[in-house]
Amino acid sequence: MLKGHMDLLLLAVLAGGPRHGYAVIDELRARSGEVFDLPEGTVYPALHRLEEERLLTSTWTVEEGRRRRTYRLTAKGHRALRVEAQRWEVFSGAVGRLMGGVQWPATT
Amino acid sequence: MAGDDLIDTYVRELSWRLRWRVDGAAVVDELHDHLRSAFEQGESAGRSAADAQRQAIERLGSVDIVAAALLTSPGVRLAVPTRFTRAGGRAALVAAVAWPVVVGAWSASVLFERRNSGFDGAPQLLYVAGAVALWVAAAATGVAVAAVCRRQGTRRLYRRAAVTCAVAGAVATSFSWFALAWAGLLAAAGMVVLMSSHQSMAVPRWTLVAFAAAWPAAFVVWCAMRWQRVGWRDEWGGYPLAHTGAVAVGAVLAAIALSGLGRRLVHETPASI
Repeated sequence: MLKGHMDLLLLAVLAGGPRHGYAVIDELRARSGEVFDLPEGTVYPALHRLEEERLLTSTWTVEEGRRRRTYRLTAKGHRALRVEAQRWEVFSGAVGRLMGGVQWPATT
Repeated sequence: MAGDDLIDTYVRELSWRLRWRVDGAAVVDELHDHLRSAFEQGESAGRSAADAQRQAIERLGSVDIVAAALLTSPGVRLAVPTRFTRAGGRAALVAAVAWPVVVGAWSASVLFERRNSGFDGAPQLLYVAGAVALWVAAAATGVAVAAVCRRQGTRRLYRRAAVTCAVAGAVATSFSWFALAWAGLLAAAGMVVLMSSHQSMAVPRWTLVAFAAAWPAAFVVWCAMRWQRVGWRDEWGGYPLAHTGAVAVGAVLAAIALSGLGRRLVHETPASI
């Protein structure tokens, strides 16, 4: 499930302002109450892909002697986030309604 | 410090694995910054340097997995030496020889014509020889452009634009006297290759700059010589010295650039990834 919604999660984190890769992962972990504790190496290909799709843009700075890449949402990224967020609301609402009527088997 | 060694080793290995990725150096810098940030956070949380480094690496993932993800994700551009790029290198070397032949043949043709030597057909014969060399040079240059684009991992759109211009330039050399057309198309190819290659360092930068500058420089020389009316005027109203001088400048610059490109591409061992 997380794989399918990775883009939404990354866009949502970056909607809060520009961040470098490590800060994105940290924020994702913190804001999800440590539920989304991703394999960190998988986040970068996703960030690069979103940049390739022009949903993100990145700039380089030098901090404490090392190069740092900071990502920010583009206007196209903001629009994509709105669309994805609406889809997610519809999806999660539907799942919630469906699961609400389920009789859960007893667990021992 | 042992911890430093772990991160340095990881980054070196990653750098080697990503060597064919066009933006490999930038990605390695980014992940290096990630590891350092994680390490600093670990240390500030009270871990030993070695533990903080080890944990930072574990959380990022093994080099195998991370490199595989970074090489296979959609949109990644690779710049790999292949048998084609090596053949393109040979074509570049052929072109590097053929361009000066064009200049030699056409210069001799102009001089023979001016001196009005005993053999009437000599200027025409030399001009035709130069035209044949021009066609060979331009065709080989077209192959070299395609190979350089492939080796540099140039985006498909730019690669097509550069190769189309170079091939059209080679075709246009059938009208060897219409230098503005073929030189203009070759210049356009050179410009596209140069402008689309800012990320990749697979071939020396100076070769791309010289290749892109060759025919624009020739045009400037031609304009200057025409403006100054250097030399004599032929029966078609042209200035043979201006034409030959401009072609000489463009051809020599192109030959130098292609020689550098060719030597680099020819000496690379084709890789399999």
